[in-house]
Amino acid sequence: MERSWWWKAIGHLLLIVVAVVYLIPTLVGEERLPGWYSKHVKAKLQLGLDLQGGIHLVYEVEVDKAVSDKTDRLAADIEERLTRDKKLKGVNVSREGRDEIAVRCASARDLATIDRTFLSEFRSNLDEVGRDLATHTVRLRLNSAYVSEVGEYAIRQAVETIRGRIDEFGVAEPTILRKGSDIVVELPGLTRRSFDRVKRQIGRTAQLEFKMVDDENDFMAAAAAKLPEKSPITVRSETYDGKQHGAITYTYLESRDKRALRQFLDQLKLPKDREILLGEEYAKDKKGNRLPDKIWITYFIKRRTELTGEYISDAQVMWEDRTGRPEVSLTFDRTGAEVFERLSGDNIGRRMAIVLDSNINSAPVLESRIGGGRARITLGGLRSPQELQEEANDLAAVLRTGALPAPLRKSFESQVGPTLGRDTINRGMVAFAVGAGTIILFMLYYYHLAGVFADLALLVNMLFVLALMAAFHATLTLPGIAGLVLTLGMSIDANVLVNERIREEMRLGKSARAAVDAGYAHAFWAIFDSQLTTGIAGIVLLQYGSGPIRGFAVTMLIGIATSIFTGVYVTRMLFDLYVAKARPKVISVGLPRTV
Amino acid sequence: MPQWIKPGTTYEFYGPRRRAYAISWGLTLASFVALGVNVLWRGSALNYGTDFTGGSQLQVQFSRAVRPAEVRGALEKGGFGGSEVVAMTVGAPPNTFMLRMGEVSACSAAEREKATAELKRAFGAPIRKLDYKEGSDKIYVLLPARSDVTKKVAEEDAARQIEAAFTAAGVEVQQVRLFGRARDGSFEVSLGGLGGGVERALTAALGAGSVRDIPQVETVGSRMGRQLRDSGIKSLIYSMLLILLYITLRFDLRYAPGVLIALVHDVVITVGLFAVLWHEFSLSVVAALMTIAGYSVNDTIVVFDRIREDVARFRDRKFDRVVNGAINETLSRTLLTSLTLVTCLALWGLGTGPIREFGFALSIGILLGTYSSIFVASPMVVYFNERVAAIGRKGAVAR
Repeated sequence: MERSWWWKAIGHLLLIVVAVVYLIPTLVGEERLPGWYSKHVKAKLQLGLDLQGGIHLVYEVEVDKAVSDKTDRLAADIEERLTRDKKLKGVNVSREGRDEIAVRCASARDLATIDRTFLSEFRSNLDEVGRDLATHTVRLRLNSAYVSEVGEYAIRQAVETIRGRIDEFGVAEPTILRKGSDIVVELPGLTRRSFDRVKRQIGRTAQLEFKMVDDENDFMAAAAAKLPEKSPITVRSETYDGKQHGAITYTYLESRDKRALRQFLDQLKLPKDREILLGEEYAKDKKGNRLPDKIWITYFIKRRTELTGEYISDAQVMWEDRTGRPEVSLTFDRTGAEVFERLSGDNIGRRMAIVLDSNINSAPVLESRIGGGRARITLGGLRSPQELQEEANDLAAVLRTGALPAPLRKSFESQVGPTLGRDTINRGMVAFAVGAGTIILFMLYYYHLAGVFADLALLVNMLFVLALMAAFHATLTLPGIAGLVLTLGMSIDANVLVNERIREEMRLGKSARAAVDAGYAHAFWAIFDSQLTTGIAGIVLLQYGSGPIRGFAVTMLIGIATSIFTGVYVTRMLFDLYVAKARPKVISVGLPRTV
Repeated sequence: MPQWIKPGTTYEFYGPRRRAYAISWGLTLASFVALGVNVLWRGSALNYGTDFTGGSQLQVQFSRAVRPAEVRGALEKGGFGGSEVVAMTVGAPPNTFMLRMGEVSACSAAEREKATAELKRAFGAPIRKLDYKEGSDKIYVLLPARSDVTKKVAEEDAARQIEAAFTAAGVEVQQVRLFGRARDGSFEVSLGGLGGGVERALTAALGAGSVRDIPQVETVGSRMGRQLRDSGIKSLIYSMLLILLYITLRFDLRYAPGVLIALVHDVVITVGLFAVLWHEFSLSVVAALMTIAGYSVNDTIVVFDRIREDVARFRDRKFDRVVNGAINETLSRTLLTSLTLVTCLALWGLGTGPIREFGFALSIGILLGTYSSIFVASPMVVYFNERVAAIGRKGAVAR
C-alpha cells in the first residue's frame, strides 16, 4: 500500500468528520448540545419560510409619490409667500409632472417679485428652469440631488420603521432587507391570526411628531420604586438647567431588553394625557464613554402632538460660532413658525421630544423663545466632535426629509401556515428518499462493486452538501430540496462516466490498475465540462435573486462542487484501495468475466 | 450481467438524421403553433402562474366536503368573480381547494365611486382626489380645499367620517390617518387584507365554521410579476449565451452551433408542452428550464468530448463515421445518465404545486436533451464541419 494513499484516506476521513460536526447542531438541535459546542460550531441549516411556515413580504416604497408630495408642499409654500408676504393677486402655483412647479403671475410686474432674493429661500431645494415673459410664468424644478435625497431617505426611513415595528412583535430571527427601492421582510413561524396584525403594523406610514417631555412630573420616580429586585431594567436620573424652572432632575429607566421594558411600562397606570415612549441610545460606561451596544431609555411625554414634521421646510447642519460645535438649524413654514414660536415661548427650559413613528429620536432642551420660523437644535453631551457631527447629520436628515411620510405599497406577499410547511417537508423528503433509493439500488445492480463505491460517494456527497449549507447558514427551501434531488442525479452521472470508461478500457485488455488510471484520466474533463455547464445555469439563477429560486441555485451549485470532488477523488481512492489490496485481474464494474 | 449496450454495437445515428430533423422541426413548429393558438383562443400564450401575472392564490381547507361550484358561487357572491377554483387531490389534506384570482382590488371601481359620493355628502363638497393604484391596499383621499381640519379635533373627526363613508360603500377599512400636513387635507385609508375578505365571503355563503384553515396565501403585485417575468427571460438568455461562450472556448466554433440548436430545441419544446397541456407556468418552471439548458449541454458535451478524442485517434475515417462512432461509444453513458430522470420523476410524482411542475419540466427536458444530443447536436457538428471546410476550400481557390 502506498503511503500517499493513507494520507489521502486520512484527509477524506477528516473532511467527513468535519462535515458531521457541522451537521450535528442541525440534526440534534442546538439547545441539546453542550455550551462549548455551540460556541465553536456556529452552523445550522435553516429551514425556509415555505418549510417552517411564515410570511414573506415585499414592499415597494413609493418614492415617486414621496417626491410629488414634497413638490406639492413646496408649491403650497410658494403660493402662500406670494399671496401673504408679497400681496400678489391672481397667482397660480401648481405642480407639473412629478417634480416641477409652474408659478403663473397676473402681470409682468408681479413676475419680477419672484427674483433671486425670493428664490434664495428655496435655494437648497429648487432650481429655476425657465421664465416665460409672455405668460408671466416661472418654472421651478426640484434639484436632482434633493430628489434623490428625498427618495433615498424615504426608503431608509421605511426600512428603519419596519425594523422598529417588527421588534415590537418580538418575532425570532426576522429578516429585513433593502433591495433597490424594495424592502423584503421575512418573518418565520407565525400563526395565521398574527399575520394580519403584523401586516397592518408594517404597512402603516411613518410619522414625525414633536411632543413635550414632562420631566417635572414625579411619576417616573414613583414607578421606578415598583421595579422588582432582580430586573434587567436600571433606574437612572439626570439633571439639567431648566432656566426659569430651576434645575430639573428627572428619573428614567433604561434597559437593553426592550420587551422587558415595555412589559413593565404596560402595567403602569398612566395619567390620561401622558404616555411613555422609548428612545434608543448608545450605552455608556461609568466614565461616560460610549459603548458599542445600544440601550432603550424611557421618556415621560405629554400625549398631545404639538407639531408634525410636515411644517418643516428645511434643516441644515451648522456650526456654532463660539464653540465650533455642530447644531441643526431648522426652517419652519409659516404655520409651523407660529406654532413653534408659541410652543418654545411657553416651554423655555423644557425638553422637546422629536418622535419618529412613536420612538424618540432625540429630545433637546428649548433654550429660548424662537420666532421667525428658524430654530436651532444644539447637540450636547459628552461626545466626541465626530460623533456629534454624525448625530447632527442624522438629525438634520430626519427633519429635512423625514418630514415626509413614505407610502409603502405591498408588491408581494406569501404566507405559509406551519402545518403546510411540515407537510411539504415530509413530501419533499419522501421524493428525495425514493429518488436516492432507486439510484442506489440501480448502481449496485448495474456496476456491482463499482456501484458500491459510487453509492458510498453519493452518501458522502449528500453529507458534504448539507454540511456546507449549514456552514454557510444557507436556507433549505422546497426548491432547495428539488436541487438536492437533482444533485443526486448529477453526482451519479460523474460515476457513470468513470465506470463506463473503465469498462471500455478493460475491454481493450488493459490491466486493472491501468484501466482505473485511464478511466479517470479520460473521464475527468467530461465530468468537469458537464458539471460546469450546469453550474453556469446555476450562477445565472443565483443572480435571479428571488427567494425560493435562490434556494434551488445555492443547493445546486454546492452540489456541483461536491459532486466533482466525490465523483473524482472519493471513488478513486476506493478504487485504489481495491486494486492494491484485492489485486483483481478484472475490476468489478458489472462486466461479464470473459470480456 | 447488466450490460445494456453491448460493446461493438454500431447503431446508425447519422443516417436517419433527416427523419430526426423532420421530427424536431415538427415539434418545434408545433410548440410555436400551440403558443399562437393559446394567444388567440385563451388570451395568453402560457398558463402563467400568479408570480408572473400578479394576483392572488389562496389555499383553503374546508371543514366539510364542498363542491367546486359551491365555492365558485360563494366567491362570486362575495365580489370575487372570475376566480379559478381547483380541488387539490394530490398531497393536500381533504377538502382543500386552490383559489386563484386575478389582481383583486381591495376596493373595486364601483365601491370607489360610491365612497366618493358618500364623501361628498359628508363634507358638503366634492373631494379633490381619490388616489388608488390597482392592487394596492391603500387609498389616498384629498378632502375639499375649504374643509378645516387643521385642529386636532377636526382631524380626528374627518378621519372618522372618511372611515364611515368607505364602510358605507362596503369597503373594509383598517385605519384612516392624516397623511402629511393637516391643512393639506390628505388622508391615508388602509384597507383590509384579501385573506380576510375571502374568508368572509366563503363563510357568508357556506355557513360559519366551514373554513377550517387558509394555510397559504400568495399575492403578487402586477409590477412585481412583470419584473419577475422579465428577469426570468433575461436569465434564460444569459445562461444560454454563457454556456455557448464556454463551449466556444473549450471546443471550437464548429461545435457551438450544434450545442445551441439542441439547447433551444429542448427548451422550446418543453415550453410548447406546457402550452399544449396548459400546465401552470411559474417561476419554478423557469428555474427548471435553466436547469434543462445546463443539462442539455451536459449531455451534448460528453458526446462532443468523445468526438474530439476520436477525431485525433482515427485520422483515416470520414468525419461523419467518427461522429457516429462517438455517439455509439458514449451511448451507454448517455442512456444511463438519463436515469437520473428517476429523481425528477420522483419530484413529479410525489411533489405538490410548483415542485410537481418543476419535476414535470425536468423529466421532459432530460428526455429531450438525451434525444437532441444524439440526433440533433451531433449531425449538426458534421454539417458545420463541412461548411467550415467548404469556406476553407473557397478561400484556397481564391488564393
